[in-house]
Amino acid sequence: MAPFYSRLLVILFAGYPASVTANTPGPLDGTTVLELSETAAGAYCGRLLAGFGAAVTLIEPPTGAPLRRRGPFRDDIPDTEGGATHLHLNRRKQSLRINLQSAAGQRLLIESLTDADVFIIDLDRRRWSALGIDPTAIGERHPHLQVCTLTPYGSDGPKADWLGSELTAYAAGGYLRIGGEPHREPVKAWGDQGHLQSGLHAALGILSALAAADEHGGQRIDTAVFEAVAFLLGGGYQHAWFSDREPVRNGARLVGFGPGHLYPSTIRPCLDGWVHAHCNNRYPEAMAILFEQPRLAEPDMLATLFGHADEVDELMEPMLMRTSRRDVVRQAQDLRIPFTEVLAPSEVMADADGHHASRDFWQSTPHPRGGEYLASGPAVRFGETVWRDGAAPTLGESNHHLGTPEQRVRWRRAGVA
Amino acid sequence: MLPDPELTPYPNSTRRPLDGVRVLDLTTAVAGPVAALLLGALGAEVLRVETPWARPSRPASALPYRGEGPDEPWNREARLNELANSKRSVALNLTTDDGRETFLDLVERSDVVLENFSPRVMGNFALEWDVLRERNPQIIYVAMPAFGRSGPLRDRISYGPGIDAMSGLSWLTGYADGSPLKPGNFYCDQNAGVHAAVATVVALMARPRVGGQTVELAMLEGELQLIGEAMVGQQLSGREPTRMGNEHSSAAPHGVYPAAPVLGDADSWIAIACRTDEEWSALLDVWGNASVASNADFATGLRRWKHRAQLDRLLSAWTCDHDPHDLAQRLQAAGAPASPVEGARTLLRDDQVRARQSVGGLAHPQVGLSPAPQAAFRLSATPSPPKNAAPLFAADTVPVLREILGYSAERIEALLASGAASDRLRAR
Repeated sequence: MAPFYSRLLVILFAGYPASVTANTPGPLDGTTVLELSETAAGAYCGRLLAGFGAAVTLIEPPTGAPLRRRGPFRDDIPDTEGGATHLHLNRRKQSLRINLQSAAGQRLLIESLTDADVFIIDLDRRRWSALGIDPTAIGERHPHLQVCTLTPYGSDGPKADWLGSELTAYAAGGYLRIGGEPHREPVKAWGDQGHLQSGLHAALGILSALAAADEHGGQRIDTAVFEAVAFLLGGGYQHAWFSDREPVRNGARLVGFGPGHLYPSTIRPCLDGWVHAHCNNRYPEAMAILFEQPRLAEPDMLATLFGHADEVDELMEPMLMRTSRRDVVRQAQDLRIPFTEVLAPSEVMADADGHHASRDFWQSTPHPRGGEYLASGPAVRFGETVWRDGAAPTLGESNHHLGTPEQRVRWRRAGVA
Repeated sequence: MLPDPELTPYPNSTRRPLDGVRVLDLTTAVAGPVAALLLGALGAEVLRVETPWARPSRPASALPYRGEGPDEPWNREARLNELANSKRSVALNLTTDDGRETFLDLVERSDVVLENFSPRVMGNFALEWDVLRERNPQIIYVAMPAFGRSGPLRDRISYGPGIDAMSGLSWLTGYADGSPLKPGNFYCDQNAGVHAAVATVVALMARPRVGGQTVELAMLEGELQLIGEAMVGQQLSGREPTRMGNEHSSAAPHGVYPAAPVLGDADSWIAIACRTDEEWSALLDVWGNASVASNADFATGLRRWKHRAQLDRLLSAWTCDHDPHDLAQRLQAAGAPASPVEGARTLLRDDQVRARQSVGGLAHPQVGLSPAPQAAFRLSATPSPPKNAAPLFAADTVPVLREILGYSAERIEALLASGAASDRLRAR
C-alpha cells in the first residue's frame, strides 16, 4: 500500500548476520501506522512497529504530543524537540501536526486513515468525541483498518471512564502491592513500566490481527493498561483463589513463596555497591563453596532455604563486604552461580565488559538540535530481516507531504495543519 | 464491602489469529513459558516438550487436591499451572537418539521452535539452527538467552531478576531513601515473554517473503527498551537518574496513602496521582479540608511539589480512615486519578476485572476451576482468551506421536519402553 507521503528512513545496522544487508526487508515494510499517543503506552507500541519496519506517523496537536514535554533535556532547557522520552520512544517515526479541535483537521485525519493499516489511539477517552475519535465508526468506515485503543481500564466495563496514571495503573493491576518493604508503603517500579507493558501487549494484539487480516480484515484491538499490569502477577491468582490470602511484600526478596522455596534471589550490599544474589536452582549447595560457609550445604538448610533467608544473608555478608561487585560476580559465575551486578544507568552504558559494544547495541542517533546521543538498539534480532532505527521527528516535519500546495496554504490559514 | 471472589470460565473461541500454527516449546522457568502461553491463546497449538523427569514429584507449593483423578502433586504446582495454560504436554528425552529424532520429526511438522536455554544448550542436544533448518527450511527458531547469543557475557547464566540488576532497572527502583529493589517478582521474564511472542508473530508474518529464520530476544536487550529515557536523559543532563519511590518528578500529591482495612487486612492503601491543578481541585472537592484548600503552600503545582512531605502527611491522616474502594470511587467521580492498591485477592472480586474477564477460569482435572489472567487486549473478530488449563504432565505424548507424527503403535511402545518418550513423570 503506497503511503501518501514519502518515507524518510535512517537505517542503522547493528550486529546482524552477514546475510542481512541494506536491502534486507524489515518484516513490516509496507505497513502504514498512524499513532495518536498521549502516554508511553501508545508510544512504545508505535516504536516497536517502527522497529519492525512499519512507517509510523505521529498525529500531534499544534503544541506537540505530551511526551515531548517530559525531561530531562539537554542542559536542562525545556525543548519540545529534545525531551528524553520523545528521543527514546519516537525514534524512526514521522510527525504530522494536525489540529483535531477543528472539523477540517478531523476530516484530514479520517481521510489519512484510508491509506493506513493500523491506527493507534492512546488518548483520554473523555476527549474522544471532542476530537472526532469514534473507534467503532472509524472501523466501519475503514473495514481493512486495525483500530487499537489504549485506555487505563479498557473501553467497556464500570471503570471504563476512570482516569489513569502510571501509579494508579500499578495499583489497579495488583503489582504495586508486592513491591517494597513489608513495614512501609508499597513502591512501584521506576518509570512507565505499566504503560510500556500495555504498549507491548497492544503491539501483540495488532500484529496478530495483521497476521490474520486476509481472513478477518480489520479488527478493534481494545487494550487496558491495568490489565497489562495485572498480567504481571502471573502465578499470584492461583494462590489467592485457593488460599484467599495476599502475599506480603518482601523487600528485594521474591514474594509469595513458602519456606521450602530456594534462596537467595535478592539484592545484597557488597564492598562497592550491590549484587543480585541468586543460587543455581539445580545446585544450591554450591553457595557453600562460594562463601566458604559449610552451613549453606547442610540438609536442613537446603530443605528450607527460603525459611532460612535471614541466616543465608548473614552467611553471605563477610565475603560480600570485602569483595567488589565484579569479583563477587566473577567468582560466582565461575561456579555457575547466577550472580549479577546491580548497575546504575551510567554503568550500563559504560559497558565495562564490552558486551553491548560487541553486539553494537547502543545506537548513535542524531539529536534534532545537533550532535548525537546513544539510544537503545534492537529489541529483537532477526536472522533474515532487520530491525530498523532512526531519529525522532521534529514536530510537524511531514506536514509538507500532505495534500497539494494549495491545500497546505488553506490548511495553514485555517489552523488545521 | 467487596463481594466473594468469582471466576467465570473462559469462553471457547473458534477464530483465533494463529490458528493452524504449531509451536514446539522447549522453554523453562518463566520468560519462555509466558511467550508460549500467549501464542497458545492466540491460536497456536503449543507442544510443551518436557524431559521425562522435568517436574519435582513433591513440589514445595502444590495446590490443594480436589479429588478428581489421581493424586499427582506434580500436576498441581501453582505457578507452573498458571504458566502452562493453553498448551499440550509431550515428554521426550532429547539426550537419546530416538528422543532427538522424534523431536526433529516434530520440527518437520511445526512452524516455530521456542527455547530459553543458555546459548550452549541447544548445541549439547545437537539441535542448532542449521540442524533445524535442514529438516524444515520454513521453521522459525526463537531463542531467548539472558544476555544474547554473542558477546563476552554470552555464557554467563542468569534468571530474570538478575537481568533486572544488569539493565539498571533494579538500581532505579526503590524508595528515595532506600536501596535498589526488584521491579517485581519476575518482571524481566514477563517482559521478555511478551516481546518474544511479538517477535514470533512478526517472523510468521515475514515468512512468505524470507522463509524460516532465527529470532533472538536477549532478555537484557528486551528490558533495556523499558528504561531508554533514563539512558538518554542521563546523557542530556549529565546527571544519574535516582530512585524516587512513588513520587512524580514535578507533581504532588502523587503517592500511596494508608487506608482502612479491606477484608480484614490492615495492609490497605490507596494510590492518588494529581498531576494538574484540575486533578488537585477534584481531590479538594472530595477531601473538603478548608485549611488545606486555603493553605498558600499548596496553592500551585510547584508549591505542592515543594511541600509534598507535609501534604502527604495531611493526606494520610485523612485517607487512613476511609475504605480505599469507596474513596477511589468518589475521587474518580470528581476527576482525580486514584485506585485502591489491589492484590490478586481483591482483583478476583473486582467489578472491572469481572466485566472484562481480565482474569478468567480454566478447568483443571486435578484442582478444578483455577484462575489465569488474559493478555491486555481484546480482538473483536478473533477473540483469544486462554484456551485450556495446564495439561497433565505428558498427557499428550501418545496422541501427538500417533496423530501428528503418524507413528505406529509398535513404534510408540518402543519409544516409551526405552525412555526416549514418556507418558508419565519418571525418576531421573
